[in-house]
Amino acid sequence: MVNSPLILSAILVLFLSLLSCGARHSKHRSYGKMTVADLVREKGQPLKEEAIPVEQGKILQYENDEKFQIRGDIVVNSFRQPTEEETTLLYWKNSFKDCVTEEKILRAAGHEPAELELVCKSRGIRVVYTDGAEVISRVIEYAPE
Amino acid sequence: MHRNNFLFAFIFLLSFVGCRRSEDTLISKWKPQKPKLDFERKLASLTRQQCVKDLYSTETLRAQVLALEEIYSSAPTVSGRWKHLDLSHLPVPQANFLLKYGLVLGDRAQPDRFNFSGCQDVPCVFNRIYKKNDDHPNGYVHYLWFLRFGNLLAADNMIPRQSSPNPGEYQRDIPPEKMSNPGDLSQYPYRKFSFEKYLFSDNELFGFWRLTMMLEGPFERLKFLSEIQRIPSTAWQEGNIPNHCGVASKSGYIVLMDKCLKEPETERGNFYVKVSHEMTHHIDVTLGSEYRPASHYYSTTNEYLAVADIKKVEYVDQQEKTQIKYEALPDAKYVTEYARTSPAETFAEMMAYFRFSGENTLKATTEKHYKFVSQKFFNEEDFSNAGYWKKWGAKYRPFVSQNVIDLINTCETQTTAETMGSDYLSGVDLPSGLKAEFVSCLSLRANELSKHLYGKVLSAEPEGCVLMNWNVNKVAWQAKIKEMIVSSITSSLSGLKQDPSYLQKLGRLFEDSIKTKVRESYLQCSTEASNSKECFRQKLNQLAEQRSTDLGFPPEQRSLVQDLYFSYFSYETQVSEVARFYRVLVESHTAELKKHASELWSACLAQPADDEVPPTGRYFKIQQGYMVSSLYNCLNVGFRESASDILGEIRYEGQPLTSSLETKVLSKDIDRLLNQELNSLFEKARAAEKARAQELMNSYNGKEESLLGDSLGDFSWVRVGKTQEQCQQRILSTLKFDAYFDLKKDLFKPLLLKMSCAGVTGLQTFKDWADRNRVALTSEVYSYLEAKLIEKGASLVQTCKEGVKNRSLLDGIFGKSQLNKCIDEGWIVLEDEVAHATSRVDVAFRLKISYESLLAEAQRKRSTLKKKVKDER
Repeated sequence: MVNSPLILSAILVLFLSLLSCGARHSKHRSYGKMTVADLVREKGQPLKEEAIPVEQGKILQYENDEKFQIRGDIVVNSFRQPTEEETTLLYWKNSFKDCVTEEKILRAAGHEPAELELVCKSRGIRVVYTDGAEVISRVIEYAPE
Repeated sequence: MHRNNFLFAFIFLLSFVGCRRSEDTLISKWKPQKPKLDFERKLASLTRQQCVKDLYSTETLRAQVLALEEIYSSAPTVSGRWKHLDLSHLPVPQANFLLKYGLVLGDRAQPDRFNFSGCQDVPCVFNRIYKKNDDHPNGYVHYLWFLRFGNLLAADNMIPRQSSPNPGEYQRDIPPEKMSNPGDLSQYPYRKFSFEKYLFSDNELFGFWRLTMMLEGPFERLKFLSEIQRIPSTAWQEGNIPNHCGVASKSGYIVLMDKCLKEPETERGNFYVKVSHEMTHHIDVTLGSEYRPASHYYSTTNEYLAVADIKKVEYVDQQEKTQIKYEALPDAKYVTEYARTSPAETFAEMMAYFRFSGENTLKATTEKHYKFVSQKFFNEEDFSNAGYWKKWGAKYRPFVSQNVIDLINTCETQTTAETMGSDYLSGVDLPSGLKAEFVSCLSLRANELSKHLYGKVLSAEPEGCVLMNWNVNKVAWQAKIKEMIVSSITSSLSGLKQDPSYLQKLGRLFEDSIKTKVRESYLQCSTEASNSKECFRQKLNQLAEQRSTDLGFPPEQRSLVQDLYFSYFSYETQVSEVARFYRVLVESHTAELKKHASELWSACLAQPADDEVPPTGRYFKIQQGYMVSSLYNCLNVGFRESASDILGEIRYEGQPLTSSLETKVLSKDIDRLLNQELNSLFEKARAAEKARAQELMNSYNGKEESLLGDSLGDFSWVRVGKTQEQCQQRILSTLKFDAYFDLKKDLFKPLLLKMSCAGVTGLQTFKDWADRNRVALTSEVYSYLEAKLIEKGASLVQTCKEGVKNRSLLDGIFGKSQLNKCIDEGWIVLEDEVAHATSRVDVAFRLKISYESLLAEAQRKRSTLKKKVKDER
């Protein structure tokens, strides 16, 4: 029987420390499933919140022009700048070469060139670029289909 | 003995100090020569006041051309020929021009239409195209535009990116009643235009001439602009954009229609606003490419959006469509309604109206936006009336100073009062104690000087006359002139009082050696300082201080010397002159550049195509299309060495490049031109590859079944769920074709569509094979089912864990049952979904493996698979 005060204290401390273990931060972003609370746990409080004309929708803005679209309490999309490696459109065409891609027109050509989007649904990524540009302007991530 | 050793060592050490190598710059070897035709002297000889527009003549244009060509009198000659012309006999910029644009001049359908024999220069070549005499201003305007801006005012009948392959044909001839819904465009023929319709009118060229004097700064550094083309008179740009009269494209061009080119005779009117608007779109893409992170447009960066009070709104809408919009903030003010269209138009309208309608722009926009544009793009100048007085005051201060020196020297020898005096200057304007004859002489001469300067501004400043049409402006400017003259006389007299040689010293302030030092100071600041303008000010200050000391100016006169230096050596002038010097120096080595680009291209193209690793590299980039990553990466790896080799071949006055500062500056131009040349090789190779692919596809016309049969073989390659993809891969690998400039699946898309891999499991041959291998295939279907359950089960477990609050051991004890409950309930739904989906998959569907049997299998394996998924997590 354990009756040493020292050992009892150690067990108590161990028990209490286990009780007070911090939350486990999820590294995996499941768009369409992760909640606002999950996002805040990962990235902290947003710098700004913006309304959008989508039912139950809003945008939470973070540093480095990173944004998250929320529907209800769920994070459905993110918008971010490409990393240095990801800047060129060629990078993404190469990255998507085994993907069934779609090219969509976001804004038709007029006085300005068209704004286009290259979509890889199976990876849940869209990249936005201007027709004729060698660089992309935005990376949009969402739940893979 | 010891003393001798010490002395020897000392001398030895001294030799190192004395022999430290200085970096000689090439620009220091530029010794400006006095041009043969002096525009300044011409202005000085005018007997009556004339406006700039009155001086539009071959003589004026030739003088302006010679002044700009003068820099390159010591640049190495260019080898090669253009028709009968030996390029080594031409001034370097003319040779550069013909090398760059010689193949796109004149009638592209009939290259021999125009007779250029007897022409000895580029203006003559253009004048033959215009069917004018060899010395007509038109030819000079085209060439002067190239000298000022480095791009082409086109004179040919091929519009960039036109749909017809034939010069002289443009726009489908669609009847008006079918315009709104024309259907298949190929049913309509192209409109044919006579060659003359493509040429700028004499009046329009007059307008371009004025623009060469009015546009500076960022307009001179348009990285992506190669040509400005006129759309045939009465035509619209293809694609039918009726509300716009011009279009600018990063692909290298601006096209202008009739409406953009109207009223060049109206001095700050429609023509100037519209052309500069389109040129500003090129400033936008130039700055965007230099911004970090790189952006297509500078105007959509956060930096500009904040200044222009524009907010970017982006989201995915209810229809899953990406929306990116720009909205004006409540305090936003726009210079025109059209500026509200988009950030690119906000920027283009703002720059154009800032330049040509300064007073109105000041009222129409926010102070923040106005100041930003002035500081960032116009050297802190503006084009309001007050802005002009300030700009001209600084510009003509050295002129006034020099002339005041002359008039003081003249009047000092005056011994009798002028019989016809002048009351231009009075006693209050001048220091006391001066002799009456001297004052009278000063007043008369000062009056002459003021008229001279007033006339000079009218004839040298494109907007001089239009401003002085308003009496209030005339009065204000004349008062400013008087203020400058009086100030200069007062300070000169004060200096003379202290030092009789003061005026001589003033005359020595701007010797050529100083100009070289100023340019080198700018060069150092532009390459090494974070704020190059401030750095240049400080260095100029130091030079002024040093010069004042050298010439023995007393301390109280040094601020005057400083002011004169700041006026004479303006920052913007250095930017412009230095940039132009290096641009043309690099362009005169075009042959070397093309050679190295071609060598690098060939060496990299010789390597086998491999697209596995990602394309990386920041030197070479393609604007559109595709390039296999092995080629792309090879070009990037070899880029720096090629650029370095080209730099090693640069010569000016026979001297090689040794200055590290100049190497930095020239590297930028070399990188840009090498990139352009490699892109040009890429475009040609891409077009050739597409043509070869089309040839190969044509060879399979009518033989698609046979190709499909060859590709499919014995179906042993079939994988459940990937049959269609694998089928396409098989067809592509059967085609003997190495694709470098497009994904093979995109290059042969029309053929793949004809082959219809979607229907491959419906082929009788497939059915027969599937029946023979039913057992093995059924087993593969069940493996597919299992793999999908594991994949989706993992996501389910993750979702359940995130949903359950499992922060601590205590929660974990109670939370665990919640987690298991979540997984169990979700798993049942998952089995149903996956069984349904699998039953519809290619092979399963063809073998008629039912949903019920798949569901039963999923349920049978439930506990095993769940355990497997949980254990892995």
